[in-house]
Amino acid sequence: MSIPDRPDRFGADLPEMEGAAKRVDDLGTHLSTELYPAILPGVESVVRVNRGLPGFSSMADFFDAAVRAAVDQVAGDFAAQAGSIKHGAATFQATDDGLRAQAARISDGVRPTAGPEVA
Amino acid sequence: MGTVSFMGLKLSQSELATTFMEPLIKGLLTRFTGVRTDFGTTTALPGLVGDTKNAQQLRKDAALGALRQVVTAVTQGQQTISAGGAQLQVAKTQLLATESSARALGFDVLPNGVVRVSQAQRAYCRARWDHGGEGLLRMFEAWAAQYTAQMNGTLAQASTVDSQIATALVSLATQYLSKLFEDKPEKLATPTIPTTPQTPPSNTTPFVPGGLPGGTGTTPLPAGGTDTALTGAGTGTALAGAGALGGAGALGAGSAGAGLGGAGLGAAAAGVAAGMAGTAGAGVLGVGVGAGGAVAAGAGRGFGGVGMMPMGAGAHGGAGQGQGEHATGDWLVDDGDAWDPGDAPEGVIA
Repeated sequence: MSIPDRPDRFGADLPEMEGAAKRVDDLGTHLSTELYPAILPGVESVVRVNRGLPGFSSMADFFDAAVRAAVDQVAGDFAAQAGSIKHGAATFQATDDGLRAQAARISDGVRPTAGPEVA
Repeated sequence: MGTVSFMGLKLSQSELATTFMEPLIKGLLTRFTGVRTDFGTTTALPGLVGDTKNAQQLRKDAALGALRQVVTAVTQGQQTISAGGAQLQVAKTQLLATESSARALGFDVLPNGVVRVSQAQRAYCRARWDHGGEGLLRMFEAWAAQYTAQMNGTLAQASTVDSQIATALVSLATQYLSKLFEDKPEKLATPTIPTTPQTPPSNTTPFVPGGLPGGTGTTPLPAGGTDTALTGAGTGTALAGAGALGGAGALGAGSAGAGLGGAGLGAAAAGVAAGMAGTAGAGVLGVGVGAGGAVAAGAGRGFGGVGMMPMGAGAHGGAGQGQGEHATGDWLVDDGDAWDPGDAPEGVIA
């Protein structure tokens, strides 16, 4: 994630990005640790009562190995996306801090000093 | 993939594939769809512009594409399992009907699916030996053989469907899921090959004995038959082949037998596809009984096994030849010296 092309907008985007990163992270975790694993006991039970059908054992392999690995991979993609958004948000934050500091220095530098017209 | 045994099919609960697995998986798919929508909305990030937006969009598309692949694989897997489970359920019903019919007539049905004449039937025949008992016993034996052949045919069908389920699931995993682990997920392809098992030809009418005892069959079906739906290496055939569902060897295991043919008295020629393990080779002449036509489906199922024997013999021969060369070749070493008859080992005429 790089700094947006229009730095004037990052201030408004920062909370949105932080929220999005957390949400995406949560979605990935939910997908791989709760949503998908919830069906595996059911699959196992069907396979168990159909031991006499060798092809049904491949169903367990399909869901418990192949699909599970794929779901974990998708969850990994989500996590990477969340990390990317977090990184972008942090970059925005750093840029924001830098610009604010710069603005403060400029403000300090041009602060009017006592002069004849002030007096 | 192994074959389905009599007890394996009898005790199976393949209907769970439809009654239990289908709603379970459909519920999962609904939740997957919700996650996908949520992810798409969350990562929209309208505040991003320019290159950042483009990069974000690529990553988003890749993740959504990966999830779509998973959803597609699971959807097709569910369809495969439901269709296969329904077919296995039909086979089980047919098997139970055949068994029930045989038991109702007093036959013994062994746990391996073989039907034989019971002691009570034999005693009944012996008691009437001089009054048609011998012929009656022959009739019972013929019926028992027909029942056994029908059971074997049903089990062969079930084995085929069962193998197709396994093959289809492996195919799905390969087609849809393995791509997720490649380096460039944004280039995910969209496979289009369906993997739902096809409906195999089914002999849905249980064997019903009837008529007078017949002699030994005189018109056996040719081994291998012409039932391309079961043997073809081809395209879109129902049960076999190297098509989408296939695996050229899908029918090879346990189907080395030839036809069990028979022509009954007063009945059309009735070919029964025995085609089970242990009957490799030429056809077995069966016994035709009156209504034997009911079990004619599946002729030629044993086609695959016929070609196996020559292959095995060839491999064996090759191994023997290789060993022989090795044994006599050890002394033929290029040591740079001129050939001398004394170099030859004992037993070699130099």
